[in-house]
Amino acid sequence: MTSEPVHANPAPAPIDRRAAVAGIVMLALLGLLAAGLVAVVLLGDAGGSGATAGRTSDPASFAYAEARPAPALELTDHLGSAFTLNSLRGEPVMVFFGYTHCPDVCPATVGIVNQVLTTTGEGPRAVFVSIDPERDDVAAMSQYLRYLPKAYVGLSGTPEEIRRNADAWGVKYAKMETDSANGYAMAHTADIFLVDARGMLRAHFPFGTQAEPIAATLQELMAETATGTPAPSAAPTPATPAPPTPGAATAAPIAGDLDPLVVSSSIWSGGSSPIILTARDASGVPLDGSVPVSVQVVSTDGATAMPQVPATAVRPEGSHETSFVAFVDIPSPGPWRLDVLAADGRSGSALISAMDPGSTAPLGKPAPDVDTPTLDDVGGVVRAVTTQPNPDLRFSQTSTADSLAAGKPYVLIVDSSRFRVSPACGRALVMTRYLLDRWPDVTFVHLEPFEYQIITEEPVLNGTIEDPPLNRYSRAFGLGPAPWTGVKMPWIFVVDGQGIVRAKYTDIVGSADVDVILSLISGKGVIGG
Amino acid sequence: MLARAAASLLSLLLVLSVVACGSAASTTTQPAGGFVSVSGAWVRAAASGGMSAAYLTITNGRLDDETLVGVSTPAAQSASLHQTTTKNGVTGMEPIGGIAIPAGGTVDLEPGGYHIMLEGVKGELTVGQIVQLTLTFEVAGVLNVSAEVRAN
Repeated sequence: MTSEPVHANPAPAPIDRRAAVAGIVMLALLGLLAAGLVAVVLLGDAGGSGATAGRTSDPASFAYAEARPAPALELTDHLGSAFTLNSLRGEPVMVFFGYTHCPDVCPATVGIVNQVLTTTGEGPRAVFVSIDPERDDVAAMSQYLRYLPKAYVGLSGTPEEIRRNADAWGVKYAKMETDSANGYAMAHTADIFLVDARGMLRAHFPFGTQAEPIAATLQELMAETATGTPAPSAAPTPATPAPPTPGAATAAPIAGDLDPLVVSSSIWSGGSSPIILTARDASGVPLDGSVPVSVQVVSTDGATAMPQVPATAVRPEGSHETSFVAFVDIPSPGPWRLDVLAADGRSGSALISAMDPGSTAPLGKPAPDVDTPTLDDVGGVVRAVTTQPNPDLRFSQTSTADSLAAGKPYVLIVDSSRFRVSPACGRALVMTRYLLDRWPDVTFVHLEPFEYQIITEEPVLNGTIEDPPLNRYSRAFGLGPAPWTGVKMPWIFVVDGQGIVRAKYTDIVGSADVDVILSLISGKGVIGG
Repeated sequence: MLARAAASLLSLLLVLSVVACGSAASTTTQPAGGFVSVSGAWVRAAASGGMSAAYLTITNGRLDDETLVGVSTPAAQSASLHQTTTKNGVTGMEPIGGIAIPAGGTVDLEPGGYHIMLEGVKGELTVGQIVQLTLTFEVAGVLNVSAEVRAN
């Protein structure tokens, strides 16, 4: 913070403009009423700005260049006594204008003021001035203040008194007729003004300003009071750094009262990627699915947040652990933060890394219309459908098209045992054999990805192992083009009974991962669903 | 010890599942092609007969755009969609016909922006109470939401 107030916002417009402004208000209102519209009246320059402008956190930008005596507030307080702002000398004061029938703006302002008061502690006062003299009397203000901190004073008065005082503060207001039960609303200047302990107007904050910069400025004013530093022309003593009260709805990383563990072995950018996770609470107790869980993908800097999506709780048959599956859209490959939010308020985060799907069959879209070869199709020549040394031929009985025609989900394992293009090759088939036993209603199809010939029972590649030729079936599933090539194996695609690709994997694939997805799409083991 | 913790957790869960509240509680409707979900619904505490407002977050997981076109609640004489705007330093609100939520997008109804204005609150709304809101979407249809009454 600089030692001198920054000259940024003008003081409220001088009083001699008030009459003209009031005229404009009347004309604007008449026009709106004639048009049958209700809208915010456009008034002359008020020196204020939109709500978003107030989100800056530099308190100095709201300070007046020169302090001047705050206009008098000669009205009636909520106890029915005559009030003047001088009566609050000795403590800084927040002043704002509103009305008690206000559904959104004034309660929001009250919320901010309350936050500021919580930050600063006892001392500062808050003055709520009604600009709705027709409905707000002493009783209405008293009622409104019933739930507010003791620091509040609620002021009301006659229409003339209110207009005179508001004008002195540069506060504009206009009645807006509505067709609602309450008859009308008020449009008004919703700034929060700060008056120091000596009655000088020091700063104003446009509607939408968060509590933090207001509290920081107020604390400076309080420090001045304590040290007796003169304020108006001399530099205000920089206050001790304000302990910021974080707003309720920040995108900050979530405190870890949940410990999520991401189970998914492949997470993809570019749409509808299933993320499987389990989560434990602080005492190590796993979430069991009785509390709804949702997830949200957030950029690692917290700036971009994807929509929050509900997760489905799944406990595969025979499993003791509940997994949560959410289908998320991740805009681009790379690291992302996954926020896990339980409906009971507990939350936690995990870092995930999304892979580029390239041209591989997109998730959430129909699987390629391709009829993979079965043992029958190739005249019973085992080597023509699998290069596995001791093949499990159950992987070669039914084609993808036949499975789809029967409405059965299928798991397509694209892998080659003979043509090992990567160290992971061959493991996918071993792993899925376990799943095949568990899922009699799911078709498991092994697809050899490359073109090769059988020469005396020996498969021979139609090319080099450095650049193996993909056959038309594996090409149909999008394998080949960058960033993946024929040397990236294996692949597993999980396609549901409607032919939609629901999950896909490459490299090391966790069997629990596929098991959870199959549980989800078959509806077996889904909790509360 | 653990059993007792589990039991108290369970009772807490039961309460929560009955009232279906909490900031992360979400309600979802799924027309063909995806989800429209609402989370973090809350209503501001208000005196009987007074004004209040409801706030929530709508996420459109659908492939098509969606619009919130109406809202009703048994807790107030009327509920309507409004938007608060500040123009030239004067803040006011205007009734709006609907709130568009683009495909895959999220819209927050929050203080100082979009909100559901509640007029003629039926009975005092005290902190912790639950208010039912019925949201009507153009495509997804009707979605019932439980909103917690909060001070701010």
